[in-house]
Amino acid sequence: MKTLLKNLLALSLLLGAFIQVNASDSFTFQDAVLTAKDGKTAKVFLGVPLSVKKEMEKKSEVTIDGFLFGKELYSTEQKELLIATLDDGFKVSKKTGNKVVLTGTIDNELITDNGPEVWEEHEEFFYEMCSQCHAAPSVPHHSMVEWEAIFSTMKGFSKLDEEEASYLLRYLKSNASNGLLKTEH
Amino acid sequence: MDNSRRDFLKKGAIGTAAVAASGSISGVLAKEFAARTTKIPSASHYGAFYAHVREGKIVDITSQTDSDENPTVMVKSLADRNTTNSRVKYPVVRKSFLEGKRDGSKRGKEEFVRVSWDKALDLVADSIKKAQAKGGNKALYNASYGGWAHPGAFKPNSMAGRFFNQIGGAVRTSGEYSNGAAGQVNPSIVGDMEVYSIQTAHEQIIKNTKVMILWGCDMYKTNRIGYSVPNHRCYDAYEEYKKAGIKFISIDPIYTTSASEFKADWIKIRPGSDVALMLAMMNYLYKTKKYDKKFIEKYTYGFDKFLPYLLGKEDGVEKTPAWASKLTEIPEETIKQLADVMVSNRTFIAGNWSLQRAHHGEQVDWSIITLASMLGQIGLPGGGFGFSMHYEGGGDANSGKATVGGMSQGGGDKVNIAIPASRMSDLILKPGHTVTYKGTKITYPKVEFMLSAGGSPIGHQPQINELIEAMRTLDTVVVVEPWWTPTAKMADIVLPATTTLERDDIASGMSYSNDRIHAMKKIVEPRFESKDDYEIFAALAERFNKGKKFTRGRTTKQWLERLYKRSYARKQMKISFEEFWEKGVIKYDIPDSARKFVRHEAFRKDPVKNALKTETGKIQIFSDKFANFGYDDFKGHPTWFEPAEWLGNKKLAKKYPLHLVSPHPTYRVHSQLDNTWVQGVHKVQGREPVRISPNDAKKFGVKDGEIVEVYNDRGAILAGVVVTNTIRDGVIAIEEGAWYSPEDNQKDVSRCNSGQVNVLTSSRPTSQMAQATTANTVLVSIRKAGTVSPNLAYQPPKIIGA
Repeated sequence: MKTLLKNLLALSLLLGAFIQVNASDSFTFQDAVLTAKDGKTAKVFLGVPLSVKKEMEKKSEVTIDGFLFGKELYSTEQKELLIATLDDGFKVSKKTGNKVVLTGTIDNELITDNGPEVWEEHEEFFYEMCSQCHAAPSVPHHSMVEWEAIFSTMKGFSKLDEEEASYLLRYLKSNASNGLLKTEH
Repeated sequence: MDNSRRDFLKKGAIGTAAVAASGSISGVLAKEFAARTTKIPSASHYGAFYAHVREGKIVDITSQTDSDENPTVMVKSLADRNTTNSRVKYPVVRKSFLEGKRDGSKRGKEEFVRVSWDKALDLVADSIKKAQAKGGNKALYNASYGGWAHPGAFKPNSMAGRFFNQIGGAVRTSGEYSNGAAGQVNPSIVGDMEVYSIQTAHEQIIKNTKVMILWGCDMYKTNRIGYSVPNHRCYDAYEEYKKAGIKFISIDPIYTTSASEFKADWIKIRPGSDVALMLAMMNYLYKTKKYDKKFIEKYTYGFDKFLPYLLGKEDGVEKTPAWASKLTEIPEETIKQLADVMVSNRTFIAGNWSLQRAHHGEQVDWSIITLASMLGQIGLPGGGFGFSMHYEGGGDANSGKATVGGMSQGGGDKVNIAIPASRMSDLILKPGHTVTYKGTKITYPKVEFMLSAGGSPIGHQPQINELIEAMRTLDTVVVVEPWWTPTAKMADIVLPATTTLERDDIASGMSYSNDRIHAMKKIVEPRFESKDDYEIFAALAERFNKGKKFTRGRTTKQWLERLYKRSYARKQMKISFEEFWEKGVIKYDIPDSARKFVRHEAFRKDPVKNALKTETGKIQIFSDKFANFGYDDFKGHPTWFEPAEWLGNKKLAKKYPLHLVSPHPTYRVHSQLDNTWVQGVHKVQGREPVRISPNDAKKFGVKDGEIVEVYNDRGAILAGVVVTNTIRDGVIAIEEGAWYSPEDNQKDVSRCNSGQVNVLTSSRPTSQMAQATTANTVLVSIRKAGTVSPNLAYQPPKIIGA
């Protein structure tokens, strides 16, 4: 019995490791720094999808897909959402067109496989600010550009300052129908 | 410093009229009287005011003239509204409902029974649990969608939404009645809803505009009230508009107050044909090469895809002035002259919202935006278009400083079904039915329980007889209201709410100027057994063990302080809540730079850096996204669709020869204040007025001042005739908001004794796209009223035990 439990535990750890290594649906838990092998860095925003290639004790080697314009990495070719900014000299792997892959390490504590968890605080703020006059709209119902359009009208009614507006818009776009977090809607 | 009077010193006509109507006491008596009265500041949709209270009673209401430049008479009626006999005095339950016989067909027909608060709340909670057991939270319908009950932070609809979210959600509302069509499509066309956006500043209009087109826009009338607390400063600006020599042209079946004030030229368009007129002007500008080709190329997308339609290559019908002349009844030459005047002068098109509350309403703003693009003046001072000059003092310069918001509904909704605002009857009557909505689909669940707080669906919903039929099929209807509204009379359980004069609250003024925070102080004790909405919904939440989550352990005062903390007054000016509360109002300066604001100026200056938030970053004259939806009544470019009901339909017009429009009221916010003395200013024999031209009055044999029946296949109402030259032949107007009152409440369908125009409007949606209301697409006829009985709209129902 003891051996069986031991084997099950080992199997679950192995499966866990397997899932982790092959995960393509992990996310940055908050704004993070991606460090390449040569020590060059990139600032990665919260909620950005990651593929974890190798998990180490305190850090993981990850890749991030995106579209590069200068030193700015966007989630789409239409530059709808800035997901990372590269420091001077950060090298990327090029695919087709502007599509690139960033590779480097990120602290494990800044990685999560629970996408909605990233946005819990934002979500509370969204409900507090955007359901005073009307019921809160469904975030994944709109695309990123639609949210920008609606938000540009509505932010004045919510009495948001610039920092709060930027905070909320990132939540709306990241959770939009074509955002970073794929949710049923 | 109060900047509000810096630029506009002259008082508008409304101010003069209101002072004359105020009837204030004067002289020695006034001094003595004042010594014994307390002056308490508060605010409303009609302006900021002081209530003068003596021995617990409101003896007068006067405007806060440093926050309300041109007060209206409506603010005077608030005291009357507080003491009216139409107040809901106690919690009550419909008699047979209380007896356990849930026969919905008796709603609106039988008496109520007074019960205790506990009994009433228990019954509400039990009914919710019963519905949940039957169909989950999808069986609950929160019909309290609008935030128009009052301008404070504790809006009843938010309280209701917060309660439902705490218990897992309910079917709720998407979009709205006001801008249900344009508000849904404009963001994809021009990267902003536009209908609620800050407008080009008055100062820029005064300085630069040569021609202003009032396209259904009656800014004098609709700016009398506000979603927040109106400052009525715009009327001083309008005096400057007049002095600036701006030429006004009103395209409208009614010669409105604004048209009259501005001495506008009147183009008496046939209702429902505006898009045809716009297309004809575009066709003319294109064919004569007078349009701004460079603007189209640089700032818009898809003109080439729209052109074949405009030139008739797509459907074989070229949209020429001759074509439009037949549809609009505007001479061909006038259409050409209008286009010429607009393209050769700095022209501002002031759009409105009523045009899009019609069949295919999605096309209206899109067509105005496309026309304005061809004129090439978007983003120039005093040029382009604006869809909110008539709302919240559109044109007011913005302080750029935060005021206060309101209490939120919070999260927790797991139902995730929101129906377009005007689909209320559909939802109830057609469970399982699927409708399209902005490229998605919605399937109506089976709802059993409906709750309405701080609003009256039997006021604003179209086709009232259909709604009443629908409400009679439900298991339970609950209404939370201070007054016996027509919706309350149709309920099973009615819970009496306090008015804002009976509790503390805060509000801001206004949506665009953002330069006031108002204390809405409790003025008198709650009447009878009424309770605050906050308290009512907290008590209901407690019955689901969610009381603490609803209140978060905070008193109303603590909520107000929390909301105030976010304001510029607290954060930057360091004014404590106590100091603000003592003062009753906080004023912000408005920077001079705000008076230079020109809408879309940044986009015009650099369309790459300041790209619009649209598919292409430009104005979408064509939208691939919209085209891909594949709807036959909403396409990829502005399109003329013949309305289902209009005078151009000869067969229908033979039966119902008058087009009925239902503009916003002059002396109400929708149905609010209909139960006050101020209605005496305009009602005719106690009924809502129907405006009719002298020719039509003669044709139908009706006389000024008499009560007539206005009818169609959807119902009949009584209205009081006003014969006037300010409405074109073939069109009549009845303002929306009169309280529905059946002549015989024992009948399933009855003539409305009061003149509630929505008995006659249709619940037909605008299109498969926005599913919005089409209240202005209505044909009717008029006949003699026959025997008339007293109008009981403002009387409470019979109540046992009270």
